[in-house]
Amino acid sequence: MIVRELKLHPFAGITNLEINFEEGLNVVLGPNEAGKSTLVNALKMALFMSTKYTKLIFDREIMRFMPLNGGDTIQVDLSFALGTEFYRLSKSWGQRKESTLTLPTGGLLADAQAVEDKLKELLVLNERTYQSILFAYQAGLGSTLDSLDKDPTPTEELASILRRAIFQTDGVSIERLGRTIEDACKDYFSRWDKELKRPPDNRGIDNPFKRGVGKVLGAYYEKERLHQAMQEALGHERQMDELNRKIRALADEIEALEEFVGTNRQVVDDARKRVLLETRKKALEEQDRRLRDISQKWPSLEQEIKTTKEGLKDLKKRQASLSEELKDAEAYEANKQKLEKFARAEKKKVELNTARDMLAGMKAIKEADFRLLEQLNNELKRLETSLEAGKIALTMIPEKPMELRVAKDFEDEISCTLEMGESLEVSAGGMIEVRHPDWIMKVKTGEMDFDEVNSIFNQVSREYQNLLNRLNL
Amino acid sequence: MEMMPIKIFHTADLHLGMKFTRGYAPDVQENLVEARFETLRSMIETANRQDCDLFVVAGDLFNNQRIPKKDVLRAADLLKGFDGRFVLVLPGNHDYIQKGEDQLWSRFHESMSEHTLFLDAPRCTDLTPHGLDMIVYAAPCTAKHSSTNAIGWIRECPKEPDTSFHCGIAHGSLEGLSPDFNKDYYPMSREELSTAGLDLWLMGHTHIRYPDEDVGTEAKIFFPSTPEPDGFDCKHPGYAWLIELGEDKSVRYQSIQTGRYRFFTMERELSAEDDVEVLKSYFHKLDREKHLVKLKLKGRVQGEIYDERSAMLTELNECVLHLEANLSELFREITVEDINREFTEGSFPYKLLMALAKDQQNPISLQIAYDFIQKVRS
Repeated sequence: MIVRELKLHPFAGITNLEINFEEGLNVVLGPNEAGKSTLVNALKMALFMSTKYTKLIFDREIMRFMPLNGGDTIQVDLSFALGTEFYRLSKSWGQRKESTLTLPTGGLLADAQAVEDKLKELLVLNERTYQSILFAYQAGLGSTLDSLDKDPTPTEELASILRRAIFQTDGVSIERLGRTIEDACKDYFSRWDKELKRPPDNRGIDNPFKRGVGKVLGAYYEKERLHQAMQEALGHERQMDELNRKIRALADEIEALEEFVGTNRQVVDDARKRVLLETRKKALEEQDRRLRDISQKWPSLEQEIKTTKEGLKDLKKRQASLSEELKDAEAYEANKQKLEKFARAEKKKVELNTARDMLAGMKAIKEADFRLLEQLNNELKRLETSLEAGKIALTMIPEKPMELRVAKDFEDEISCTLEMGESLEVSAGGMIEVRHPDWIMKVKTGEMDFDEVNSIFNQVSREYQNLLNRLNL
Repeated sequence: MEMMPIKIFHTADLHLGMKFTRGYAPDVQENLVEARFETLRSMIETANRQDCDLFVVAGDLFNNQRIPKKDVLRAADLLKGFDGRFVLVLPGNHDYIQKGEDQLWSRFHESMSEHTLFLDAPRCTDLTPHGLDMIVYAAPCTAKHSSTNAIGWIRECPKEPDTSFHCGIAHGSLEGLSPDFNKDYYPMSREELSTAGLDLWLMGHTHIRYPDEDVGTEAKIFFPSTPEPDGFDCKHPGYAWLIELGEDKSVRYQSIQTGRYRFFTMERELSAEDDVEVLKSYFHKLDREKHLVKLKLKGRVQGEIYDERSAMLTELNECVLHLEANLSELFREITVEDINREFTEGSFPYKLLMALAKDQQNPISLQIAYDFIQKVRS
């Protein structure tokens, strides 16, 4: 498509302007606000803005191009060639909305939709494509020109360069789009098993994740919480129903019992009264029995009391006597030790007097006699002791009764009678002598010469006796 | 005694004390709470104008057991405004009667008028001594859930043959009408109701008008629906029944529209600007004082419409009291022409979007890709 003429009458700040483009590259130069962009906008409007539009589209896309100096309609006329064929397009927006397209054949399209359809057919590429490539703004122009400078065949390669730079992504950063999608997925599906449609690892509402909960899982937890709360509420209601049922059953039972009691009040009262009276009757019967018993025992007990009272007098007398006796006994007990001590003193006194008498009757003994007397006495004791040091024993069992005379050591002879089988057992220090009318038996110890000892003993005894006699002792 | 025709105003499921914590603005929430009391007052005025003999609340007058004392007293006071013979109040499964300490109903009982019959036990109440040719059989709820209904005793109860109307008042689900899949809410069947030996059943629980007709003479079982819509599940206006029982045992009933607020749930598919205009037009006909809307928008719209969706919602929001909008399935229409216009032919984004645009069944992929590309393109 080659644009030949563009007419704005009016459009935005331009009241009436017609530009004829020449073959080849046309450059429009001018200071800021001169209307260069207005020309581009008018061209875009003519090519892509239908004159059949909604209020919203008008407000958003058209309103800004309405004449600045008044007026309710804007209009753009465009002549262009496609090859050797010429077209003339005229569009107006605002109060008057018209589209006309004069075809190379001279035919005229005046229906807005028909004009748009024909334009799409002629333009081949869509609006966005034109906007991205043909209406490149200053920002994109630099890179485009750089590409053209480096490329020796700009015309041929233009399409591929632009396709790489712009077509492929159309201004969309794939990385950013990817991140956005990932973020959104994370935001929604974090910790959510999309296949099983539940939280992973059995982390349901009873063991929920605390962190990283996505929107889906959050909603799931909320739903489960509400479900639990609902179940709990229902449970409470059921529990309440059950309690009410029990309360009602008990209340009914109480009512029934009260009704029964009400109906049978007299019987119940009588029964209660009877229980009371029976208790009382039992108590009275017991009392009667006790009184009868007492009445029956009264005379004998009275006599018994009388007797007892008399006995009591004697007892009291006896008690008085015993009390006296007790006092005496206690006094005696108190004096008993003194009396015993006195008695011991009295006895000692008698012994003392006897000793004094004996002492007074005794003759004076010479010390030599006393020594001799003591010596003889010691000798006698020594001889007796020596006999006691030896030991002989005699056992004799007669086969018939017999009369015997037995002497041992220095002792005098004794007689004894033995029955048959009765044994005679004698022990001595040095000698045992048994005499029978028919025989004499002597037993002596072998450790000493008894006869000699006996002879010495007799001699010492005689000396001792003689000395005593001489001293009148 | 000469018996006269009986006129009954039948309501249920008013749920006084409901808190509306669903994210409504505070003033809207306050209005919704208050509206339920206003509706009770309004129904009593209607019943008075209609010279009703009985004002029947078939359960769930209150929303739960923990209603503040002042609200209980207010309800009792409002009921005192009824000029007819008796107000009959049945505990439902939300405001069930408890044995022992029951603050809700003990407070109500203390402050209710003498002509209020509190149906707190399964028993019959003979109204013939009061000039009304009717015996009432009450089946109050004693728990929130029950797999057994409370009407079992009525069938066995001997009926007085000389009384014209034997009227049951019960609360629970009706097989085939109420959504009670687990049979938790005192489930009843038509068979049970029709063989109980009664002439009339005034029911509560299901927020659906039954029979679903404005006037009639054939029905014996009545569900009035809630008189004041309480949420987006309630797609209809509030209703109550006006029932006239003739001396000839005839029954004539009329559905009375009640309540202030309406909840609308709508789903609209947008594809062109005209659809938006139709939607706006619809909203402009709604009442910004009374209407609450839950709106779901679907479809693929032109970019300029899509970009203006916030402004559109603002406009719609101003038309109603409350708007909950879900635009998760509304997408920018990204056509082949749009891609041609906006992207360089043969470029990576062009190829990607073109490939996604071929899959018409999955517009969201195209939308997401388009949004990502626009985001990183700037």
